[in-house]
Amino acid sequence: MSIAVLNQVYDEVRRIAIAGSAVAPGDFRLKKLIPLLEQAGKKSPVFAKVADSATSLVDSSEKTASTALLEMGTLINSILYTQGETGLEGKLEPIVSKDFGVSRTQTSARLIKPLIEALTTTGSGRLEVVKDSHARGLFKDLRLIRPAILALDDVYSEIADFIAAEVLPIYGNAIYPELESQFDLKGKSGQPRRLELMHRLDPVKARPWVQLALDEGSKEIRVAAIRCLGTSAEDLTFLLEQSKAKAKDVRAAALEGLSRLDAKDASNALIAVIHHSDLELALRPLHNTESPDVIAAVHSAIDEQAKKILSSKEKDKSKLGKEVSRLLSLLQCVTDRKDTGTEETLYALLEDRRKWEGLKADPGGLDVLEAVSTALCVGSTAMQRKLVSLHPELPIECFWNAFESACAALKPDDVFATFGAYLKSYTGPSKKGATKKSKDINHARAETLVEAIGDGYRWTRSRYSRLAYHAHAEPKTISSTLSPKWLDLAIEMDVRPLILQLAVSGNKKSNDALAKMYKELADGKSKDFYQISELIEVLIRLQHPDATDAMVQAIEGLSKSTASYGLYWLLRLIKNLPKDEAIPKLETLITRLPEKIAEQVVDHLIELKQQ
Amino acid sequence: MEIDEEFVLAAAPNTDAAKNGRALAIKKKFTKLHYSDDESIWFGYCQGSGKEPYLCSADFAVPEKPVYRCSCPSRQFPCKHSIGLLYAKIEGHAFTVCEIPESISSKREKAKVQADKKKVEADKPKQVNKSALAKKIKAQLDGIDLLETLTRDLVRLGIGNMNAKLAKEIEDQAKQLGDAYLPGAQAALRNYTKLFYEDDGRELSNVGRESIFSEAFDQLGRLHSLIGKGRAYLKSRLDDPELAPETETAIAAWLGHAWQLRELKDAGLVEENVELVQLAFNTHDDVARQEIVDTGIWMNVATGRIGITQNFRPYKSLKYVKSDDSFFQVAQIKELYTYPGTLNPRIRWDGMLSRPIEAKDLAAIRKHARVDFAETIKEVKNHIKSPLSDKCPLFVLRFARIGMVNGSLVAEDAKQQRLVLADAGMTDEPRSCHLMQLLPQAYLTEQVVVARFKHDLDAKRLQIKPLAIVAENEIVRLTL
Repeated sequence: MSIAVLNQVYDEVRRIAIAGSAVAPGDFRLKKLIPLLEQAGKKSPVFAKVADSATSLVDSSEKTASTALLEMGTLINSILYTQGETGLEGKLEPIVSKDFGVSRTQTSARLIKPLIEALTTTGSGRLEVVKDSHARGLFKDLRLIRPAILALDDVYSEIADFIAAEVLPIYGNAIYPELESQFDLKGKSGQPRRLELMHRLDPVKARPWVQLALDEGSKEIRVAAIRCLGTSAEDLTFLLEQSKAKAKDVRAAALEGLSRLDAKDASNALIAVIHHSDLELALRPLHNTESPDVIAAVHSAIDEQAKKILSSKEKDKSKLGKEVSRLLSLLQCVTDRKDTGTEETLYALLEDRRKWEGLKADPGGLDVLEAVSTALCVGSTAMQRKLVSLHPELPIECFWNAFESACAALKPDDVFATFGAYLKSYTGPSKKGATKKSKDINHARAETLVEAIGDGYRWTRSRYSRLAYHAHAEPKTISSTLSPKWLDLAIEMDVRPLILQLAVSGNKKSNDALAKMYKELADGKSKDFYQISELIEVLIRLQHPDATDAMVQAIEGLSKSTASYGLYWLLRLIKNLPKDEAIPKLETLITRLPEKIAEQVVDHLIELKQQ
Repeated sequence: MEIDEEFVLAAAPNTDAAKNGRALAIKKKFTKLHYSDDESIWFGYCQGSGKEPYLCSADFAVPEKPVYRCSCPSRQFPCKHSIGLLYAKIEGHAFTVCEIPESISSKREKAKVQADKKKVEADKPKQVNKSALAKKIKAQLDGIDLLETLTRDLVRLGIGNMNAKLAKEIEDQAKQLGDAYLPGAQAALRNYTKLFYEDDGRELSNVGRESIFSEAFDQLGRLHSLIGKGRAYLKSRLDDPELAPETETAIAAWLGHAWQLRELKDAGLVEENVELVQLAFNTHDDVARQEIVDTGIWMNVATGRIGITQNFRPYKSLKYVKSDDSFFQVAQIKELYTYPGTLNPRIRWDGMLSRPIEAKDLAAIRKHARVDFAETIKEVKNHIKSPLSDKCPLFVLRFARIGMVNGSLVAEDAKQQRLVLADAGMTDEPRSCHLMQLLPQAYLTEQVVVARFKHDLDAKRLQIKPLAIVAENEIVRLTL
């Protein structure tokens, strides 16, 4: 069969259908094909049929053309349906399979479809679906890879950022080709995320894209591309140019790239910025740089700035505060450094500690000392020891850093020998509004210890989050490094936050102390839901036999109080209870609870059951 | 009767109903829980918002067709109370033997009487109200005339001159087809008009418009065939009122005939004791029908025939109509009804039991796979050339390997006959081709693929979309 003629006829008939049947009568292009069809019809009757139909169409009137066109179209389409090509010539190459352990596809449509919709549509409530599905491990299904990648463009940036940071890295660089195929140099929002993710997954492969993005990309893409630079010496010239760009975000990205390069010019650019108003933009690069020249320049800048402040006759606290702010920014750049230059710079600042203590501004001299103690605390062992040795002479703002330094640099018993005595001054928490200044310094130190150790992990985390650009993502809980003597002393003095934090499984003394606290809870004497939650958390952690009963008591107690909002934190602990014991007890409890609270408990109970 | 969580989830109309039902059980809202002495019915009293507790029950008198009843006013079926009752059973709540309450036993009795009546009536020859039928057919013929007028107008206008506004106007006129007992014809016309606007009703872009011309041209051909064949069919029925609906072709369904199970049974379209395995599943929004459609693709383990289940959920009653879900077991069906159709007919059943899929089931499915691509292609082409045929038929194919040729995914059989894999033109199902490179290497050679064929009108190429890989130990779903 001469397919070429049929295809020609199809094209002409399709053209007429697009234009409307009124143009069909007498259509000369179709008419020209009729003789060819008639000739082919001598060999194959189907061509004759097509020729007849085409003739009817060409000979039709305006009135009959629509029917003739429909007849013709139906016929030609039917024939072409039988002529579709199927194979493909060429060497069959094996697929480079990217098996990254995600082959499960047994998730039901009812679960997976809402997730796909959350990733591919708009509207409220989607972030929760995405986060919940991520927590349940639903993304380990190969059918979700593509929707997850498309969600990089989500109009709700929180979803897109969550996907880029938490979800897509699950799949590793197997998704690189997909990211690449969707990458648009002129794009906004999702495209910069795509470029940075490509660079994160495969820096070598992404390099040409980064370079192209710098030349031809949209503004957002260019900034993202600059953030990816600094891994090759050839980036230097471009980054130097961009470090002087008009746009702030471009300058910030360029400085960051320069901080990754080992080149004299890059160092000079960073040194120049130390004395410039762009210092705030350069804090991260100055903190991250390994260039000895730049680090030395920061040290000099700190010395100069300190001298300038201490010798200043300025009375205006606000103006002085601005100078102190600059010093604090510079100190951020040496936080986490362990070199001797940093050591000397920080020690020099401590030499003037009395002057700093007396400097009143906002921020003031005490903030400087705290920043110095923070830098020493995360510095070398020698720096930490120095801070410990100086702590009796330093203000209370430096005390926790000194204690943490001791924990890092000294043996646990030596830490207790140095700091344990302070705890003996503890007489309970200060009244609201009382400032540390107004208190006895030793009591203030004891209170700091109780707050810090007692709040353990949370406190440590918030403190670490205050340290800009700190390298330690997940700090250790301080209580795990302490001598058991702290627990004994806390029990002896009945310092409950410390008992809760330091209690260990199988220790009779701490078990008794916890039992006493539990009894008070059972008697309804305890109303503070933070304390209650903390006690139950500890009981669960220690696998204490009273853990489930304490939970039941606490829920029941809080359900009657006006502070039932505290239940949110408490109920999150249900999933950690011993399953066999907790399920029946909680099920019985639910029947006694008000409807709204019962609903909340049910959700957590289902979670426990499903474990 | 084994009731486990999977059973309850399958019985629940949606995930919320399952969750709410479970919460009722956990909250011990069931004041009394009982079962009949023959364990055929489980019932209980559930405290709701009203003064009196609701009496809910799960009746397993016919195990493959459980009946859920509840005295609550919910329009969801089964309601959360019945679901909660099942959860109470799973979670080991104490049920005691008790006499069946009168309100349930009377309903049970009524249902039994109705079932018996139905059985008796099923054996009686069907009485046809000839004058009513004639009136209906005349209305349908008038509807066909209207469809013809509209179609001719569209052809005169030309595909290139259509736009979203005109499409909406035509759809408004097409509502008369629904009034003329031709919902299928109305949907067919909408299948044409919906091509001219985006999902949100916006006008298509220029590129978008050009991409739909070939499809629109094909749809016009379908409408033309539907008019011709539909008119002839209706006239034949008008001439002979005793004539049963056509079962050799799908013309009755095209016009919108809603098949009753009895009609299918009368036509001999019923099989007994069938075991089915779901190979793929999908849920899509059918704008033309104004419904969400849940589609299951199933294989008869014994015969290898592929059938599809379709659950239509109109937009207006989405909350109350139970959604179907993917199914990972073997469905054991006493009576399987098959709708008229050729390659992949629609199938339906009234009740089923289930059992886990075993290696022998997968082996049976793999054995049914077509090994010769050339023969299958011939069959597909022969099928899709008919204007009113299903243009995207399903087959299970055994391939020697799947690889790449010039950037295209290609499946090759043992005789080195090839088929190109593509997603183009099959937007109702999620994309799946890109998943091939994410599969373990072992799944790309000497395996079985569940494939949907589609002729790309612009590329003039017959291609397949992979829906699942049936391996020796599992079915890897590539869509839903």
